[in-house]
Amino acid sequence: MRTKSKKRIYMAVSCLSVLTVLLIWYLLIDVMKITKSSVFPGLVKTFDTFLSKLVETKPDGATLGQHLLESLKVCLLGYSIGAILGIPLGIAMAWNKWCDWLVRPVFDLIRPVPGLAWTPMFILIFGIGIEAKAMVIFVNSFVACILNAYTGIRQTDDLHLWVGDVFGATEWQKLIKIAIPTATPMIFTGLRTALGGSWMALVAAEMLAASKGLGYMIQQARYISRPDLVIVGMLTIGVVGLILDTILHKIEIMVAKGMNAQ
Amino acid sequence: MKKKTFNIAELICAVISLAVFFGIWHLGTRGELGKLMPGPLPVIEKFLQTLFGGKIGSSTLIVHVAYSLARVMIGYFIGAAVGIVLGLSMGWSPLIEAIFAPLFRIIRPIPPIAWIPISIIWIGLGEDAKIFLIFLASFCYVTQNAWSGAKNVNPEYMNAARMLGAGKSRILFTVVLPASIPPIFAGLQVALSSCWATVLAAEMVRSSEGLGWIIIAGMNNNDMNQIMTGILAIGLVGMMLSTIFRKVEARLCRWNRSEN
Amino acid sequence: MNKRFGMFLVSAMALGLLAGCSGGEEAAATAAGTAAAGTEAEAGSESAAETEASGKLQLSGRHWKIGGQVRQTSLYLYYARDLGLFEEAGLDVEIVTLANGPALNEALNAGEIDAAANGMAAVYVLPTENFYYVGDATINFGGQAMYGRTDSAIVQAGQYGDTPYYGSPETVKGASILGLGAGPQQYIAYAYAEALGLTSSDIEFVAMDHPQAYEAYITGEGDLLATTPPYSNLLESDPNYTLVADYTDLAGGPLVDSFIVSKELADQYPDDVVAILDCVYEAMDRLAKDDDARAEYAMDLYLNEGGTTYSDEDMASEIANVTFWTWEQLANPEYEFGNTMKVMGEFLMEQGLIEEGSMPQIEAALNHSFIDRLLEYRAEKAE
Repeated sequence: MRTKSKKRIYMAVSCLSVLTVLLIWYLLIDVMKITKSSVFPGLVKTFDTFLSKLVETKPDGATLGQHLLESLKVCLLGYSIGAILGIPLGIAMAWNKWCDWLVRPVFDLIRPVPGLAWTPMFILIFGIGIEAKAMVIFVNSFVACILNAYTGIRQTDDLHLWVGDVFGATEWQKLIKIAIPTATPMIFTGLRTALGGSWMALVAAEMLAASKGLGYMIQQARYISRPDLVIVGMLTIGVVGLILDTILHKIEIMVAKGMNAQ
Repeated sequence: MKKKTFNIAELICAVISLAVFFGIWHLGTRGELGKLMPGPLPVIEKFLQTLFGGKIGSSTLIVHVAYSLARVMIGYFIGAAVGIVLGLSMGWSPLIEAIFAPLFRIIRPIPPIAWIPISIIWIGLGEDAKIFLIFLASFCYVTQNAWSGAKNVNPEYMNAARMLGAGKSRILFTVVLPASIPPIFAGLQVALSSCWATVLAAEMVRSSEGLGWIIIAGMNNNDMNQIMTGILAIGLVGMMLSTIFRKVEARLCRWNRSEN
Repeated sequence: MNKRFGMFLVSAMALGLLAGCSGGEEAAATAAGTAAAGTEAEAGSESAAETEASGKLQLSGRHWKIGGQVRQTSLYLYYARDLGLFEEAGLDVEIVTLANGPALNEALNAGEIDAAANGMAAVYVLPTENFYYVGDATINFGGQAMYGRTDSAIVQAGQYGDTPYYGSPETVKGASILGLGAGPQQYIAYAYAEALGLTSSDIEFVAMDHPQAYEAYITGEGDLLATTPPYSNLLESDPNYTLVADYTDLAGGPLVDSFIVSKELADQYPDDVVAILDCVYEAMDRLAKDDDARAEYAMDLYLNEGGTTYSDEDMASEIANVTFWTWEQLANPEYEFGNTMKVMGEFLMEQGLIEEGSMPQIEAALNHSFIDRLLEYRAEKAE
């Protein structure tokens, strides 16, 4: 009972903190006008822009909802391909040293290169459609999935593997029955990190060539000097990122619980 | 974790894998694509040629690397320092968590590149804006890990310490902090590579030197060779950074283990 | 986590309340702002007029940061710098190079630069009422144009009616057009669609930077490419591509670039602005009158500061398409002052790229008084 009331207080504090930031924003820009609204928009103007952008296609040809849908489509496409290819490769690298030795040098070389840097090349190879953008996101999610699957498998307790040996399990059985279940929570952490990374890579991907999407909306708003729209775009990315992360976090907890129950 | 030792087989594998990678690249660019995209040989040639001797833009490649590294390091360390302090406090005190968590969670998914317009308005076109963007990248990862690290400290340890009469701050420094070091280090490592990846976005705010600039200038002039040279340099430096970091971490974590 | 959501809803509602309460005040504040700006503008032209009598320019000695791009748009600015005209005039000018028009706008808005040799993109900052459009600059007769593949259905459809444009409503409907967003290229695409009796929603405009758009187009992406020199020069000389529409035809006049100055500074230091204009128009005059010197200087600048290699043909085509003001023309201009801003402003407002009702602000920002003062000053000096 007491913890519950405590939780309520903390929740109120959270609300208060967000409201305080909004209030400071409102006071500084809308009331005190420390800078012109064409330079940094006030809270009221930004909120107005947000509301009108929900139904209005001007100035960039699509409503906020349409931009969001397009972005989610690209993001999830690149993300799922990255996860489908990345997790098995990560597992293979952790399980088989030859595989690790063969893949790692190229992986280490490619990993630090930001998605944005690949874009000119991807346009050349894949064109300007959804493929090039999805590829940029793919690279991002691929790397995160490999890393976490790899670490997850590597965490397998040697003792468990020895038990497997004692009972005469084959390599394959040890992998399926021992290592992968151990790694599953870590793999899910990877999936969550990868989704965050994919969502962040999106703006970069949409800045190179697009006619829809949140990244495109921000870029276009920059071009036509509309900082209010830039901020609406940023906050939308932030809030949607928060929602995506929350959903995957829920799944992660469920999976972790399921593993323990076994 | 199996112990990793350096051996000949691994070296051979590395050589084979890189050779296959460059081989595919070489063959891939021999056909139609080759007209638009350089093969590995011209890129490596340009890379070696400009490393110390020739120039890209106003400086040699190594100078560009130095510029980018300086920006990344400053932003990285400021971000890491702020992130560790904020993350630990958030994990340790529910009140601080309640205040900052919602703000942090909204800001975290916003990529540095989307901050460019705002940072130009707030900070300008100078070095500060570039460092700010890198700071953001580092800050988000480090805060996240320090936060979850401090939050996931085994409550039994805390209770034990409390039972033994340790005060709140004593618990923070002797229990929470040491227990959060491994996740903080994991966060520091991810942050380092993401800072390095942010250098391109950071140098999109006006610059005339740096690896990001090399790629941006290459994009503006359709010079694929220059872009690939930049990519190669970013890849190599990034690889070196994470190797160095892993070595440092191995050392510090060994200390950490022996202390526990 | 639900709790955070709850909190979010609460804050959003609170936000709504705030917005609801203060809507009226906001409108009143804007109205007051407009009125204040109006008086300021008058004060500006007065102050320029006041100093007229003194005959000589009184320079403040302040450090001016002027933004430019390494392209034909700002060529004169770099030329003025390299000729040493600014120092000769006793001005302290630093040139800040930025990638494109939108970047210049951003820097202007952020107060990072005081003035800019910008292109058409300037039209987006004029509604803020913080800047004066003080002078017409580079004149683009050609090069700002849209190309199609010669064997494509659009080009094969031939010229549409009695217009000079290739294509037909049937072939163009649904076409994807590559080009830099929010600039003359987007104008060309939309105005072209309208000229064929279509609307902007019948075509897909894919926003990409010029070099990437060109690269993507020649590798077979997109149906049409709206572009700028040097890419238009490259396509012009290639029989595989055909000129489909040109800015000058669509807009009924050449695209004239702009010289923008911060209103606050221009009002405070009108003589400095006149002196700067003196230098840049002198540079333009020399560029316009000596093609060989221009070609040599431009190719050198583009290579060394922009990293772009121009061939002799590219340069010849640029000289044919793009010209600068001479002193004689400036005194008797053939085009209405700031006309490009008006045409583009109207059009972009229709397309919703500029907020409705911005036209009065744009027109108020067009300030001819500095050029008037410059011409008088030169006449006095000549006597």
